[in-house]
This record gives sequence, C-alpha cells and structure tokens, in this order.
Amino acid sequence: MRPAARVLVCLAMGAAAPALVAAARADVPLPPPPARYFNDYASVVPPGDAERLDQKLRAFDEQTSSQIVVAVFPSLPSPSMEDFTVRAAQAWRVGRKKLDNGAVLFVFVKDHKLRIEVGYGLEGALPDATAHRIIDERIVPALRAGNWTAGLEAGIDAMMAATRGEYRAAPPPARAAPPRGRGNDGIPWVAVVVGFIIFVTILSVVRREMTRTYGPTGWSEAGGALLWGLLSTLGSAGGSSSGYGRGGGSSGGGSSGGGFSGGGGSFGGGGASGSW
Amino acid sequence: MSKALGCVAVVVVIVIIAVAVLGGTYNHLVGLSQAVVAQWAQVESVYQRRADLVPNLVSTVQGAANFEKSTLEAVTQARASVGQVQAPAGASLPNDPQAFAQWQASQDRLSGALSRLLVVVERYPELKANQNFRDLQAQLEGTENRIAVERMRYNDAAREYNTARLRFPTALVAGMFGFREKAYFKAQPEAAQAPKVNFDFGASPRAVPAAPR
Repeated sequence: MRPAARVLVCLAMGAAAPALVAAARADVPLPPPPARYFNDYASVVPPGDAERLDQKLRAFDEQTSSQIVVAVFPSLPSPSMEDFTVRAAQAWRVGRKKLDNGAVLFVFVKDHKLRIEVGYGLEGALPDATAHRIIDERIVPALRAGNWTAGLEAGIDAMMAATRGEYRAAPPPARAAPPRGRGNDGIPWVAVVVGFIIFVTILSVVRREMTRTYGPTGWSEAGGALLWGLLSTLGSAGGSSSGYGRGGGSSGGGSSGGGFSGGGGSFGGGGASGSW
Repeated sequence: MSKALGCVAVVVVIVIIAVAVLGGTYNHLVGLSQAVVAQWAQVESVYQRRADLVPNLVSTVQGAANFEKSTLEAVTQARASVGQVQAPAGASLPNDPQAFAQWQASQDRLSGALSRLLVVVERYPELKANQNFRDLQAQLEGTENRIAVERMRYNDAAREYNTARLRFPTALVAGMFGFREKAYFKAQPEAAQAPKVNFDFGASPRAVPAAPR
C-alpha cells in the first residue's frame, strides 16, 4: 500500500517535472497586447486620471513616434519579473519597427515591484542608470505614500523627457540584425513539389483526352482553366502560412482612433527594476 | 518518338524538382545558420558591454576605504581571463563545443565574482550611498539581464537550427555541405542552488569556485 503510493507519487513527479521546467521559462501565458497606452488592470488609478495619462502618452507617440506604454497588473504572474516583462514587451511590439523606440513601465501591485523595460533603440536615451533613477527618485517615493497617480505620472514625465532628449536628434544606435530565422519558412516546398507533379500529370492526361475529343485546338482553354484553378489554390495556401508570431499586420499607424497598437519594436532586456 | 520525348520530359522534371528541393533546404539551413550567427553577435556584444563596465566599477569600489581586497582581485582576474578564451583560428565559437564551454566557463566565473562583489558591497554604506556607484550597479544589473535575454534567444536560435539540421531531407544537405551542430549555453551549476555567502574573509582569494569543466 505505502510503497505503491510512493511509486505513484514518484511517477507523478517524474511526469510533472519537465512540465514545471518548461513552465518556469516560457509557458507562463503572456497577457494580450494592451488596447491603450495607459493600462490599469489593477484599478488603482481613478478613471479620469487614467484617461488623462493615456491621452498624454498617445500625444507623445504622435509627436515623437516613440511609444511609451504603462501596464499596472494586480500581481506578477511569473516567478521571474525580468523574464516576464521582456517577453511581454517583445510580444506587444511596443515601438516602431526597425527603430525599436519603445519603453514599457510595468507595475505589479501586490508584489510591490516595478520595472522599466527599454527597447533596443532607446537604450541610448534611457540608459539603465537613468531608468533606475526614475524608479528610485520619482516613482517609488509616491508609491510608498500610496499616491498612485502622482507616482505613475512622475515616472511617465521623466521617461518622456529622457526619450525626447535624444530621440529626434540622433538615429537609434546600430545593432546586429534581429535574430529570427526566417529562411524559407513561408514556402511549403513539399506541397509545391507534390502540386507540381500532380499538375504535370493531370495536364498531360487532360491534354491527351482533350486532343482526342476536341482536336488540337480545344485543349488550350481547358488547360487555362486548370492553371487558373491551381494558381488560386496555391495563392490561398500561401496566405495562410505566414508563420512566426511577428505581431501580424499591425504596422505603423498606432494612433488612429485612439487605441494603442504595437508598431513592431524589439526589446533586449535593457532597463531597471525596483520595489517599494 | 513521342514516348522518348515523354521520358526525357519526366527526367528533366525530376531533376528540376531535385535541384529545387536541395536548393530550398540548403537555403533554409543557411538562413537558420545566419540567424544563429547574428544572435551570437548579440551575445558577444552584451558580454563585451559587461567587460567594459568592470574597470570603472573596480576603480569606483577601490575608492571606498579599505574595501576587501580579495573580492576585487577575483573580479580583476576573472575579467582578465575572459579575453583569453578564443576559438581556434578560422572557426567560430558556436561551431566548436569545447572552446564554447571554456568561453562560457570564463564568463560565468566573472559573473560569480561580480555577484559576490555586490554582496560584499552591502557592508559598505558609504559606497552604497555613492551615486556614481549606484549608477554603475544599475548598469551592471541591466547588463546581466541583457546577457540572460540574449543567451536565451541564442539557445532558441541554435535549437531551431540544430533541429532543422537533423530532419530529413535537410540532414542529407547538412551532411553534404558540412553544416555543423551549434553549441548551447548550459545553465550554470551555481545557478541551480541559492548563492552562498562566504563570511570567511581572507581565507581564499578565489572566493567563488570556478565552474567545473
């Protein structure tokens, strides 16, 4: 009885261990891209203030093209804050494509932790030391006093000031190309080859039949129709296989109609963390 | 006559298909391999960034009255040894598992020495209050975080490449053209356990054990 139970427990643990390891890294589900620039999922800021801060950040995006997003979560969904924030910021695609000029202020209310995540392109304007000072000197004192609006607004203002300082004057620092194996991922070679073989076979059979029934001129019309059918099939197959989660079609734009949409920025773990 | 023509056509089609498939998988592998190389460049640049921070950090910490010497020496030594590990001429580190492991071990040694330095600093309040030191500490923390991120992405890219390399029919192409397996970063043995703080001052200059291997 006892040993059997122990064996069962061991088996269960053995089965669970790989799952746990995987969960520790990548399988904490990431929140969907935010709909606004200022996102208070924890309801700590009065709605009027939240609206005003959202307006501010949107205007900043329109003026400078740099995107600053604030996300206040009730609690941290992952054991590692830094791992979670860099993956969330990357998945949300904050900042413009190629420019990577995005920054995200994450706040986790119950954990009393916060982090500024800085995109590759803003690392010069908003270096780690500056991000750390913004957290320590502007945000944390107000949060300690329980003043959410003041703390977050001071942080936003400081981030905007730092970003504005450099961003328009100088292009973002060069970096190595983003490492995403695109290769030939989009083209299903096997399907193309099989389709080609089928196409050739059918065409030759059809041609023989057509030539036999209608004489040498009749088959070309049928062949044309067949070709058209094949092309449209290939076209629809190609459209559905666009692969890697690169944020889909939401490019540029970002500010029409008021909501936030990520422009395609990339993050490399720059920024600073803090707690209060 | 027409039969012979048909045979020739079939052969031509097969040859065209074979070339297309081989070329496609070859290009696919090249693309993945280049992604690993690009990510490797990112990894090197963040490690270089950390190495560049160290002299500044050491000189700032040295300014603090009688700062523990052994800790600083360990950092300086580890920093010096980092530059010495290099791939044999003509090869790149990701393609050479042994050199890669050595390189990682030397970098991990520097990580250990630096984290120990930051622990020891807790006992020097005037240093912790120094703004210059705090900025350096923030940069160092940010850089360590970047290292973690870029290493993870490197491993992802290498895994994608290595998996593709083993799959059929890509494996044939990989064998034909000598695509080699890319090395991975291994989790540090120390990272698995909680960091040990050694309060036995001055006993051994190398406070942080070197990673085995």
